[in-house]
Amino acid sequence: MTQRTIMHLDMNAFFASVEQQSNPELRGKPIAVIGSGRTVVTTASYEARAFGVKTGMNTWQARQQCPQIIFVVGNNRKYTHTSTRIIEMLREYTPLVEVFSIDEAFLDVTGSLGLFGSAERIAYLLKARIRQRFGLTCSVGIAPNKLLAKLASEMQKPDGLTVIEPGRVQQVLERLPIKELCGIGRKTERQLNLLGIQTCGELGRYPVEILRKRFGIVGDHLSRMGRGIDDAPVIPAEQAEEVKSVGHSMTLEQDIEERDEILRFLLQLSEMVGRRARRYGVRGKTVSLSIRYADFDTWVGKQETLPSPINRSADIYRAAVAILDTLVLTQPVRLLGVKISNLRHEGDQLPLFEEERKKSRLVSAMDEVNNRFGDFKVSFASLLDEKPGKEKGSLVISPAWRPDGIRNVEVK
Amino acid sequence: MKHEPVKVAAIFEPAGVRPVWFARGARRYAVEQTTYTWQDRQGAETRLHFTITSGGELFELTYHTAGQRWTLAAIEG
Repeated sequence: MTQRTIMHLDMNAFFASVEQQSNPELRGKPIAVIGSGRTVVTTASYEARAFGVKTGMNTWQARQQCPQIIFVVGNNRKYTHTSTRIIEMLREYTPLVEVFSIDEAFLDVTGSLGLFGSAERIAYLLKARIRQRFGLTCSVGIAPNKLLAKLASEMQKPDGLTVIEPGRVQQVLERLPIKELCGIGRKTERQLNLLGIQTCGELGRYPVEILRKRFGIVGDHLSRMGRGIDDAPVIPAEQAEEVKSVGHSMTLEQDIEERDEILRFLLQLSEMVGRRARRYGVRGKTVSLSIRYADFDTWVGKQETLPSPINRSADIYRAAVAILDTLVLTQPVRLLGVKISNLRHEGDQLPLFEEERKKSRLVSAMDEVNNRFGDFKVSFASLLDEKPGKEKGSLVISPAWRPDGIRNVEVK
Repeated sequence: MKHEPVKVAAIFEPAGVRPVWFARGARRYAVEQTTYTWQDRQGAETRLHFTITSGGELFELTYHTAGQRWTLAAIEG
């Protein structure tokens, strides 16, 4: 394999930086972006991070850390638009762009070096263009593979550019704590610590047989990670694996217990799943329901495989309710999720019986209206009971969000 | 606040749309700086959003491309 040049680009405190650019009053101040319903910090500005404010804290905890913090309700569409435009910019330098999340991407620039001179030059050009167009900064890591490129981008924040030359890999990894590597979570870190492994250097030298015995096939992977080896290619969207499921979940503003209320949210989720599945011409044979309780630690999930694949919202809803009826809920509900999987890519088939044809025509008519005027403009009557003006649909950007294809979920 | 219709004077350039002033009631607000722009879709319609400053206040103007109309979506003083 020829030497690759991989770049990882990470937008700095993305949502918070966008808000600071939008509102000059917020620049240089500690701010935290929160969701419109529940009060959890989704991103904190660097000024707020300096006080110890972190993603995932609730507003009360954030204010404890930083009394002068300013909370800003996030605008998801602003972030997805910005991310989409930045990804378009990246694709001008190489077609091999893998979107890792809304604010991170990998680029394989090996084939672009002849055109642009060097990876550093590409990085400087990108940084300058993103700053000029949006006023935002990013950190870029350049290395021979994805693992090291991501590590490099983490080394200088904000607005950094770090290069790990192939000849310096061992030196960089020797004393680096294992938790710094992407893919080594707290649990794996603890398990490795128990084996006496603290640094990447130690991980790389550790007998692979013991790692294999302890972690199975992952043991080999961990050993390679410790030595800075990663052959994973940068996979652009068009080469990515087909999605295996279409699902939506929502954390509720308040914990709920009433069956009617649960059913209303399930119907809303079923419509979101059905709309997306129909838009991309997929049907699912398996329907899953997941519920997370108020303590957020325990959850129940169950799935049911049907005789034939479905994508009509009413059918998905019926299947989700049937699963719900088999469960005994032991606590108020905080999160609900509906998913179809076991997907078949097939267009609409004209049903044999008139009653079914009517239902299909109704769904098509509803979709046409909603395609033109926006989601939930025409919907099920039982969803009208909610407070007027209350937004329906995805209120949170999922980690699986992508700028194109079936994963491009339109957020509110 | 929810999308109040406003009169806007804007320059349509190849590089994009640039609002110059907007009128709310009898008062006219000169756009001093466009701090951020983004776009989204409402159904089939593309909407262009502009966060602008005027007189020390921050406003969000929205251009609805299908109906070619402008609204004021948010104000922060």
